[in-house]
Amino acid sequence: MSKILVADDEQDIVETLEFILENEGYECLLAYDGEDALNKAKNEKPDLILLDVMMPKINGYKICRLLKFDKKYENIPIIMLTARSQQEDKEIGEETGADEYVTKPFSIDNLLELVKKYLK
Amino acid sequence: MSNILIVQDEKLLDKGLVSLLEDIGHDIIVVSDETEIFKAASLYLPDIALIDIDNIAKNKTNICQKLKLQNETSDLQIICLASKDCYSSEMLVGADGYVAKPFDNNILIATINAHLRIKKLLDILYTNNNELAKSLYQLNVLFNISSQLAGTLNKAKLINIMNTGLEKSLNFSLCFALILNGPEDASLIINSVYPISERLEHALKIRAVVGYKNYFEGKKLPFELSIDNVSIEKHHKTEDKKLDLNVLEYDYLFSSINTSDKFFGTVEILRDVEFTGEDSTCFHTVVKQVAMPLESAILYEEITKTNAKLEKLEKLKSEFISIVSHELRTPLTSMKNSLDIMLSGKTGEINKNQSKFLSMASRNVKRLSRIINDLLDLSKIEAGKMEYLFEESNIEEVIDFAKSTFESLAEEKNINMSVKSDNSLPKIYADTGKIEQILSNLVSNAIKFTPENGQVCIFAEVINFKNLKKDIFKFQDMKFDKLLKDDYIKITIEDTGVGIKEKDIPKIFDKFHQIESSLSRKVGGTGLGLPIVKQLIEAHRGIIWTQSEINKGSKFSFILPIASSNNKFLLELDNELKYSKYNHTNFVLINIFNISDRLGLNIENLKENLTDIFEKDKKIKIFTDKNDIKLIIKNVIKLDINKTIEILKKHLENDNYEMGIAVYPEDGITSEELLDFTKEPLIGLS
Repeated sequence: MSKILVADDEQDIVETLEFILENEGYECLLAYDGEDALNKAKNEKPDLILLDVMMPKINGYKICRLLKFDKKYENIPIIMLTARSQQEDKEIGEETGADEYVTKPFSIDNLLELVKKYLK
Repeated sequence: MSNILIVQDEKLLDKGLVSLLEDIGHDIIVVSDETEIFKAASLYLPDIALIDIDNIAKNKTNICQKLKLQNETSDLQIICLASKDCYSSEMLVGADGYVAKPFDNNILIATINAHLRIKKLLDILYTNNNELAKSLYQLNVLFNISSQLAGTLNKAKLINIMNTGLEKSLNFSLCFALILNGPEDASLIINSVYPISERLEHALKIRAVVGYKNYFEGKKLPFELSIDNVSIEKHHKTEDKKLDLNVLEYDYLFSSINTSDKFFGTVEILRDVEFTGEDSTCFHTVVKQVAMPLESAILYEEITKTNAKLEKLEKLKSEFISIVSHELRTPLTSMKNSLDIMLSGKTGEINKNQSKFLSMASRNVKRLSRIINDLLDLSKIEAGKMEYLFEESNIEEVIDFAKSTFESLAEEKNINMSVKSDNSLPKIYADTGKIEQILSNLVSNAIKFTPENGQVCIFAEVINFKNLKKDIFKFQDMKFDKLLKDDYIKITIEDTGVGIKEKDIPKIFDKFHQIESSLSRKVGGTGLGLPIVKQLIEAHRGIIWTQSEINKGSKFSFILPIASSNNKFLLELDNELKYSKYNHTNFVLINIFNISDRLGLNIENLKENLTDIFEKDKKIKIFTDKNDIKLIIKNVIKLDINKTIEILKKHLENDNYEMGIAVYPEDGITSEELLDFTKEPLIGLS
């Protein structure tokens, strides 16, 4: 069973994603701030991370960069979630090495497809 | 070498003496007739006159005195020659020396030498005196210029002051200043005594451009300039003559107008009389003095332009937000209703998970509406469209309202909420609804950010302007000059909550600046509450400020002026100014003051009559005080004003009063300034 880390400071979003992913048979790890997310990513080595950008303590871009430039974690696929949709933001997201970039509000079907793609 | 005028009618001096004097190097003019004396004296301007008064005494004319009184001969040295028995002392009035006849030639020469020396010294004294007077005058002009220059930020005015200054201090025939306005755009401002010919104008254009280029010889020009890009502005004083090319042969002074790093242009003056070293110093000083304010003026021009642009953008943005927010409300309403219907079970029974997600949706729809409401509020405030219904308002009631509203919320978290207030607080002049909004916002923030079992306390007190300054100036950089010098009510909301980081304090009143955004979202904040509060308080001529310590708590304080007849009206006027500014409308302010006897005046009656002519719409607002009546009339056309004045006069028939009128728009004017305008009584009001 694949393990997915869901990191977002918005409780409603985390709970929704947890419900959907568990419904699909994935195991979920939850984090509500950047520090928590980074610790869980390193300690629990999830198979995929859904990462919000605007989070307290450490923002999503930084977490992504820290993981992707570390040999131990570089293979974990990261899907960035953000409320901003400007092209510029997207470019920063890509520079940090994220595998996918999804803007809010996202469709659940699309997100699930992406998750399946990276967990094959 | 000196000129000596000899007045004699007989052979007074022997030929030997005349030739001796001539040998020494003096020019001798000899006249014999009395009438010729004045002619010769004015014509040759002799240094010394030797007058044989024996002869003249017969005619009893006091010739010495006459010469001394005449302007051009007033400093002539006069030596009288006379026989002892032949003159009266009156004849010597005005004379500088006297030699008795018969005389020794040597005595005469010695006397002449002594007086020549006196004359020379006097001449030096006069010249020095004149120069001193001129310097003093120039200094005076310089002083005047510098004070005038400091008083303006208008480029054209500055150039004008420079020209006037140069003209007064140096009396030029012609002055031309090349002022650079931008790439390939310069103006040549020519000031002359007489009008200039076309040929001269063209020549000056070339001379200015060449002068400009020469100034930067071998260096890079700030702007490329050809004579085709120079526009001309001409002024002259009198029409008597015309100046032509020969002016270019006059003496000239040239200078660039620049500060150490900025170049504004060049200026050159021409004069038919040669310039002295002092003139040159004066010229350069004047030009140097204009460069600094010119730099400020140009910066100011740029800032004004940018400001206007920004203001326009800001307004567009506010309008955009307003439209978008309204559009958002419709679909949001449908969503909210749908969710509520499902949650109520009217569409069939829902399970636990369904209920959880429907509630989540409903909660977020509510949050979205709150954000939209806040956005709308803020855009309304910023667009000057927020309406304020000012009235005498009781702050204690507002505090009670806020306390009772949030009591249950506080109890949920076991937070102790208390109010500490001065006894019988004076009333404020405010929009009560807005004050409730301000207080509710601050109190709910305090409760939200305070952990369980904490404290929230509301303090209310009266504070006067002086103490106020002492109290708050250390916390924030505040503009006290904009505050009314009145008494204030100070409200403080203190909590034992999470506090705000010191570096974040200046930002908390900025729009969309959420500190610890997740915390703010968790407690349902929109990030717009404090900016709205700040704007609402400022619309009441109050200020808000914060003190906070992380993990200890925050203190939000604000002050509002207590109701006085003065600030009541100013608040209304502020509101009107802001509205008119953003909506490009106008209004007229009529101030009737120093009314001697209001007894005969029925205000209600007046109001009725006035509203009649404005078709009973809300176009007119009337404020009355002891001896004053102030009217604000919106969107006026000319007819309305005249009719209004007519009615006012009819009502004030038996009274002594003064009336002043001011019309908005006027750029950048404040309420106080507008009111000041109306304190100048109207002249010739018919």
